[in-house]
Amino acid sequence: MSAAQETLAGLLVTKLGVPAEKVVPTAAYKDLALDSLALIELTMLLNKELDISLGDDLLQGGTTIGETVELIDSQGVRA
Amino acid sequence: MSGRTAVLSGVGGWLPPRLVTNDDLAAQLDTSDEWITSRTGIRQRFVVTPGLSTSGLAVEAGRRALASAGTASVDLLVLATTTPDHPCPATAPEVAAALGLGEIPAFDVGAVCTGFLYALASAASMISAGVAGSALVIGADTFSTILDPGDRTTRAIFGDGAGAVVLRAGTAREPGAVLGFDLGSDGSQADLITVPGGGSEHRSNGLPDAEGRFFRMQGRSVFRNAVTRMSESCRALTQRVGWPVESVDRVVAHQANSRILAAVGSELGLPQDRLVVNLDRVGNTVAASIPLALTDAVHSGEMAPGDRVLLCAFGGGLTWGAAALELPRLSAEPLPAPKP
Repeated sequence: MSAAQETLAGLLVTKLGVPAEKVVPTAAYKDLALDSLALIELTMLLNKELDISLGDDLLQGGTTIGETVELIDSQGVRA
Repeated sequence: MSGRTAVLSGVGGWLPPRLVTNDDLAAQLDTSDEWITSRTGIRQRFVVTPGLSTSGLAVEAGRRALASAGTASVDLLVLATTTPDHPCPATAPEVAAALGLGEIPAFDVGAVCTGFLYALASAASMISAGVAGSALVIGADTFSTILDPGDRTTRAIFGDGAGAVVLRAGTAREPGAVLGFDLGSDGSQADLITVPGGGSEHRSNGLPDAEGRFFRMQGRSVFRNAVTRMSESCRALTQRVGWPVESVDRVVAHQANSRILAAVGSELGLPQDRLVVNLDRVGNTVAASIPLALTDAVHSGEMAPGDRVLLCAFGGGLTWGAAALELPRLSAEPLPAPKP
């Protein structure tokens, strides 16, 4: 698991209350019951934990966990 | 701060008579009680009835704060509002006259949801400088008059109301002394929270006043800025007044959204029960929110004399700020609880 994947999964479970078994690469945020404010909270947490700068509107309901890992990796965070 | 210092001596608040529940909004718009409550923590708000405007709310809150302070006169009135009765003149002089305060200096301050803290800082500074011996500081807004009737988000969030405090001259060592402020702004992000029309920019461009007359905001960026700015401002101020953050007993933050409040508490590393919350009952009342929450918490006994209190806010401008004080012994009338 990459650093990005690990951090994302950890934040979703511990900070946003997503059940661990639902954190799979194909899951989209809307399927995890995360609304737009939860997505900006997640963006802020990721930016802080990984020292990156994802834009406020990057993560949308249709974005998947796998796509998010790619977005983070594209900012230079790698395991 | 040393020498002559502003001291908090009274609090009061008032709500207009019309109650609007989440179910009332769901009957008009594509929304639901569950949608509003889960996103905002707000269950109801109050709005003005025809004929009632910002000055009317401000007078009622001011009257209650003066009664709480046990005084009928002050030397200065500062009113924070984004919804004045008229574009010109300021609303504060009319409020002062209606309260029978005589020909005292009275002016409006505009800093949207941070307005009350900017007004408090203005009044406290004028007291410290010897310009005034006492002041009535009011935050009053009637955002129901500038919301897009079809916008389910802003109509769920905002409510009308007014809150006020009385300050008097004293020393930094006595209970209630306002110990310091942290204030800031960032006009490069003015577009995040705005009523684009109705001002000189649109008129100078020949655009009709009706265009862009409603309030609008960009939720996600506002959320991020609100959490970051309020927690940074609180942190900066606690350092300046020499309080370890964990020694703060109560944070009275602008009642924007319960999730913003929770995130601010979490950023500061404070337990959630240190944050005063009354937005479930009144919504986001803009400049009124901090003094309304303060009045509620003083009345309920949720805050005790001697508590280290941080007031903090974030709003359009962008603007933000914090104030620090130790709560004095105060009494407050309960907020009116109008029925449907």
